[in-house]
Amino acid sequence: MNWADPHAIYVAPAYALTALVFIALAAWVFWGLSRAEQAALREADKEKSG
Amino acid sequence: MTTAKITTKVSGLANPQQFMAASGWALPAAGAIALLLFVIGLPWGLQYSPPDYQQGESVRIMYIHVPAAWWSMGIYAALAGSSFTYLVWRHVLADVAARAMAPIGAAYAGLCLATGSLWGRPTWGAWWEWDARLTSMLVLFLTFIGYVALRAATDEDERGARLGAVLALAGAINLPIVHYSVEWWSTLHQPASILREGGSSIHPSMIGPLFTMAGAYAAAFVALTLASMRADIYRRRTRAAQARRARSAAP
Repeated sequence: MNWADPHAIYVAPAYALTALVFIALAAWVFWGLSRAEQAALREADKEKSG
Repeated sequence: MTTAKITTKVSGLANPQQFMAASGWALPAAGAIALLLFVIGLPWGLQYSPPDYQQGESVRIMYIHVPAAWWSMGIYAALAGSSFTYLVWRHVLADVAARAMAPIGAAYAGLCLATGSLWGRPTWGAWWEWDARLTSMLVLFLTFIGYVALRAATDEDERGARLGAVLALAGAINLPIVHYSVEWWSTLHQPASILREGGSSIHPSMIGPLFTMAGAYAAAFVALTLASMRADIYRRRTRAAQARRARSAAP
């Protein structure tokens, strides 16, 4: 990659945006999974105890 | 393995318990494959592949744009397939899968439009053109967004699932339009370069990073969908347990 090329100003944001989208998507999905799993475990504990 | 055994195994996955067991190992496996392919594909596309003789350095955008275009269409086909399965056989897991795929498909389609725009400016001299391919891809993106909004707006699982499935199937009519738009109309967007009569027209040195990134996008889609499906199943279990407790507490 020749960073002095005038087209580099379009390539860099395209890759940065792609990385950002995948990081945001993964963070959102796995945060949701973690919350849902914790809630299900809490509910199962409540059922067992009561 | 016989066809009957394969059918039994596939039908078994429609059972949420068996799905949770299978996805327990499939999710980290798909995640690891996605990570590995991104680690190889991103520097290959961005740094080590050659510039194009006409497009120069902007050809590197192709390695992140084309897989987003391929898989946003693939995800929509899977969304429509799951919706059809839900409507016909009422498999709850098919609806769980459809609901999980939609935001990921929206992200891929949005990424396709944004990176396409960043490629179009240096190549065509325009950020956007109301070209048949671009417009039909925008419609695909809006259909994904519409599906996500509809499912978020309908609290009742079954009603939302039915309405969502109908919307997903109606939107599937756009898939052949996106695919064949470059053949049916005179478009600024170039026709297919790889899957076409007479074989691929792109240089072999560009096939490697393109297919590595396509594999990374596919593995990431599988991992994210499985994670999202697991979260939805946990939520349904929580709601069911809360309903049971409420019933048992009622006088």
